[in-house]
Amino acid sequence: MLNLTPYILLAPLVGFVVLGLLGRVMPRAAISLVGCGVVLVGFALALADLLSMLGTPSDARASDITLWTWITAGSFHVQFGLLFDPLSAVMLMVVTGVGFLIHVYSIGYMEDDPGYWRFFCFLNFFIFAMALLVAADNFLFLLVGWACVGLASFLLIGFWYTRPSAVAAARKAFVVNVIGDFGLLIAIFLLVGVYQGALDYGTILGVQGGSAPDPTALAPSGVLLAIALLLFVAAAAKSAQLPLHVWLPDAMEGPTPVSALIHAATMVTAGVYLVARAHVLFEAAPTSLVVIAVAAGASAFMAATIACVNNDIKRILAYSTISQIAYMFMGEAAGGFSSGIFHLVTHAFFKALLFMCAGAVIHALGGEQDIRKMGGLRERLSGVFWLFVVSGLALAAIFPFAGFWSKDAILGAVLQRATASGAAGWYVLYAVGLLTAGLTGFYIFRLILVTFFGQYRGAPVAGHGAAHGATIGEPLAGLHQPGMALMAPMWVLGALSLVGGVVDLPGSQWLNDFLVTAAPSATELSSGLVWGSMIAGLICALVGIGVAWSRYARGQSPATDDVPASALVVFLRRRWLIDDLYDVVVVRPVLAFSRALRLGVEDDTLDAGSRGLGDAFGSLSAGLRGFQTGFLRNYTLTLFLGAVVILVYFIAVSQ
Amino acid sequence: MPLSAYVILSGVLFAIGALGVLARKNPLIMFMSIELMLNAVNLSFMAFAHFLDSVQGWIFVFLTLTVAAAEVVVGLAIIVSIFRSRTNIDVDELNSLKG
Amino acid sequence: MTQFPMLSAIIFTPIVGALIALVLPRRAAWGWGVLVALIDLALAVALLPMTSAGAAGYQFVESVRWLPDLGINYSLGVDGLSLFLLSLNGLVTLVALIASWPQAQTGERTRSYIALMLLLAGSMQGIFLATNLFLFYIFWELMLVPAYLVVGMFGGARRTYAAIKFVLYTAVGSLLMLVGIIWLGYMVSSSSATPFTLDLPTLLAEGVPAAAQPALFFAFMAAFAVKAGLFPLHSWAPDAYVEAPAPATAVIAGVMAKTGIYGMLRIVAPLFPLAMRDYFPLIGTMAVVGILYFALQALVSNDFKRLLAYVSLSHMGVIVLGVFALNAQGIQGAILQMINHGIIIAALFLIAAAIETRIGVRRLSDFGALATRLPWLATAFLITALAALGLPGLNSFAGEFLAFLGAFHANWVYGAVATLVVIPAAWYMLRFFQGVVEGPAPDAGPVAKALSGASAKLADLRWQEWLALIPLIALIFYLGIAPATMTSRTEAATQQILTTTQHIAPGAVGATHGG
Repeated sequence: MLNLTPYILLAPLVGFVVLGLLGRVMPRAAISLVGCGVVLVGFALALADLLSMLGTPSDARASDITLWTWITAGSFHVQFGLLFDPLSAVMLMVVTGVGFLIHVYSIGYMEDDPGYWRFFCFLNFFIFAMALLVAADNFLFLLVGWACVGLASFLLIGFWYTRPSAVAAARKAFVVNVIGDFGLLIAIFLLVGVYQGALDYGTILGVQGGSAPDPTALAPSGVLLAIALLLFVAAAAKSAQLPLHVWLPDAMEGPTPVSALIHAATMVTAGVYLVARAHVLFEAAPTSLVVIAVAAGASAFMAATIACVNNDIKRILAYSTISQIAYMFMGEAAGGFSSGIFHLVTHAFFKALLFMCAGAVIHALGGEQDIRKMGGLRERLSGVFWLFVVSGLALAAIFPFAGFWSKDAILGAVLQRATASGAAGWYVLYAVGLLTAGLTGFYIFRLILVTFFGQYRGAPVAGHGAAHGATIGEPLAGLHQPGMALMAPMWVLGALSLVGGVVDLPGSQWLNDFLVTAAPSATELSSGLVWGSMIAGLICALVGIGVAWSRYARGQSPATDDVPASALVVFLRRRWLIDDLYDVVVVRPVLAFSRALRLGVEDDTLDAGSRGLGDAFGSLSAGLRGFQTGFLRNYTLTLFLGAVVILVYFIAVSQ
Repeated sequence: MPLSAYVILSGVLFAIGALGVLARKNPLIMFMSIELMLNAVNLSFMAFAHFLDSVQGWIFVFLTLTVAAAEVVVGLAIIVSIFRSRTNIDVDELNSLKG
Repeated sequence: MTQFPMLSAIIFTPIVGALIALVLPRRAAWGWGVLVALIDLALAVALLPMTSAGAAGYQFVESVRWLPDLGINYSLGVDGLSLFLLSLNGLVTLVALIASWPQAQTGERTRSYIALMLLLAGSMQGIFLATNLFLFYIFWELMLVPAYLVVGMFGGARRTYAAIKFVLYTAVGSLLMLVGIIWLGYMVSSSSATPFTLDLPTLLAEGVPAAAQPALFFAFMAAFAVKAGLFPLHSWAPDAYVEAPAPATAVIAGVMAKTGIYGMLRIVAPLFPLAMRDYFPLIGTMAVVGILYFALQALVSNDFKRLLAYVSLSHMGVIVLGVFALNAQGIQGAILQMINHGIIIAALFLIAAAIETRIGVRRLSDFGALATRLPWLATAFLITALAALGLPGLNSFAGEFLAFLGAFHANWVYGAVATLVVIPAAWYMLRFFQGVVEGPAPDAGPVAKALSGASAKLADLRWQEWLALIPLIALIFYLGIAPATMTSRTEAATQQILTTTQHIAPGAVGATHGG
């Protein structure tokens, strides 16, 4: 089997280094060429790998390349190696494929930005880091990729680094992600103990043909549970699940292509990848799957409710992302690891497209993000409008769009788990899933209707060149029509959102079978329940869309924040008060405590203590100064007296 | 003569010297007194060396003489330089090293 | 001895160079200092391929009888533990001298400054190479003199206070160590057949009686813990680091603090393993509390040199914790992290110096938006800051990972609580980085003034700064990507420490799962 994985990583790395060192002096065309070209090369290599894999019998579809020994210490040893198996193949395809489209989109979106080279430099770095994350063959290099995508995210959120809000959002994202890194670190420490110093997937997860050793035979259940929960802490931080989701909405401060690539399609789904990759460890600690189910159910519902009242076009999509990733976790918690990955793939298509559409709208309106200041854009931006509708239908899981199949697979897995175990909790989770499906239909069509229907409500758009002289009566005369660079990748993704579901239709289950060695799927439901679940999901989504239609069909603007609202709406607008809670419970106390330590311990105890000790010796010496009169004869007298004392002593002793 | 005579003479000389150092204000006189004390000690060294028939006493006498000479050289130099800068060498006035 | 005395050359090149620097013309002093440091670095680096990687024990041994009756000999040797520290010392001294260019141009006392920096380097090379405890002590005290003078003569406004505090803290520790050295020699010779000696290999071979270990442990730890800035004995460090000229701080924090850790590994761990095991809860608690305490202090520091001082101390706590884990991962991590920390802290202080020379102030609250005018400086700053916060893939991660891993397997509570520091570390480092180079430009103050005019003062990195930072940044990447090149060469020394430890104190590392 062909294995070009090292070169898949190398291509964007080369782009990063070239742009980082020379980008400042390169012409824009060259920057675009390098920036997009290296990702296209990566995609081509990944595709070649995948095609070669498809020609290989399914039990030999894992190829591990060890590059060099990273570290050794006693029995602990880590080698830098790359694994190409069905799971990493799917992930690499998504990362490089969607990544390439978003690179192309960025050419149009960032055309006027003075930091053009820097943007592509960071994007290439992100592709490299994400490829490392999904292709690493051990937990340590997973962590390296894990942290590097966090860094890329930090750099890109804070891309416009003179904006205070962007700087704060970047820092918040990084620090919250480090909480996840902490979880992963401790999990790795525990794994080193359990597996005698080994960290490679081959030993722990048995991905290379061999079956995994049974973890329950190696370690007590408490340790296994700790490992699984700590891995989930990492996954929750990276994938913005409760209670570590707070950074993702703020991350929308970054340029929109970044939101599409990192904060929708790829990086934020790394947690889903991690759970699927390490499913052996999660299955060994079943309690952890319950925890994931609870966190995922809560996240899905919470984020969807917040999305229903938010008015920032990108933040609505950000909360939608939290909610959709929560679906993926729900599927995984129910044992349908492959359905989680399936939704990851389709979500990458339609959510990236949603963000790109949002980006096209923002670009067209010269930076406006508040949907209350939009409206009536349907005719002016008809291409964007139709793509928005396609991706919205995919998100809302309407037949036959891609999202329908994947969300159905997840709900099916949850229902299967519920019927198999008979536990009420799983039925509740299923109900939450359905309810959230309804909310999803509502918030996305609220967004589409408010943005594209009715009358334009914003300020006149200042346009380029000739459009500056637009007549007063035409507020949209200066609208920036999206160019080819913006639209071409959107059409591709639109097509994928429409037909992306074919990879895993209920009858064929191609993706499911492909992933079977890496990420198992749940047992299939009986055919009656399959149809029932599908229809139930569809009805919920249609109801949600219907409610949205009934309220916003004429493009009515949502109420502004200063209009009195019910306590519930205020609660939702304040994002369930979770950000405030963090501020009051964590940030302020830590800073106050640190300042108290500075005053109480550092200055008043340790510094003052050493000064006090010095002063004590000082005053002792001041007392002794009296003896130093400066009179020679005093000294002499003292000398003689001393001699006399010694003499007397010896005489006394000798007798 | 008995050894006691030498020791008594040495003790008397030493006491005179010590009194001179303590009582006089002129550093030159104080130096002379110190010399007197050193030589009182030398006398007792020689006396004991003679009566004990040991060479060690003589060796110490030479050592003392050398040290005394060196001390006088340094001391007189200091006194001269003090005199140059202050024109007054009364030791009771010289208390600038007061702590 | 027919062979070229390589180790003596490493020690005495900078010391002789220091003396010559005093008599050179003032304008030649800087160039001379850089040249001498370069030669010393070249000698230290030349040792790397010349030593055999897998072998334990001292190589290139030099031994001259000095005062054998008192057990004092001039004996030197190098092994995996000290090998890389020599190069680190050479490198940090070199880049610090290169970065002292502005001082060398304006200062009145350039020659003294260069001479002191070289003397400091030479005495530290002596510490790393001495295999006789008395010789070790001589170099240990010799190091204090130039360090004190550099802080006291060339420091900032509160330099006298800082210098005196520094000397008093370290002197009290070293005097206790002197008592410990004499007592150790006496204890060993009285409990065995060997005559009184202070040669380290002989002492190791004989072993220290269990009853004497605790007191000796504390006598030596007094010196080493103060030097390493272990909480709560660190009070001298922030003052000295802030007041000393930044290049000198790079050496003091980057290398001199390591002598404390080196002492723990070279002397305390092999000689007093029983006491080390028994007092792990005490020292481990001091280290863990320190790690978090310093991180929180860094979080609320406004003076960025003080912030860096706390960053340095927090990381030193991690190294101490690794040493006291007493297993292969912990000690390997500590050795690796000594080098990594030296590189990163030196780079951070040099960058702080670059910013301070341009703007003239150090208050974080005055800063913002420097990246708009100084993109390369911001890039170098970002890389170093990321290394300092332990970004996986850069050098500090490898060392801290091993140290935390070792600590975790020695005692998982200490390990887990200490690892928590990665969260405030990211917070304080980004606060520093973003506060200085990102964010909106301030409305008033020195930064606004520097940003507004096209003043020549606000130029991006000068060639001296490039020269100083490039080797450090290259190492940040290299040691992050392939730390095994180092750990494979420190493995033998680590195993030797561990076997000595196990030989004398069976069960001392019993709790290591991965070890």
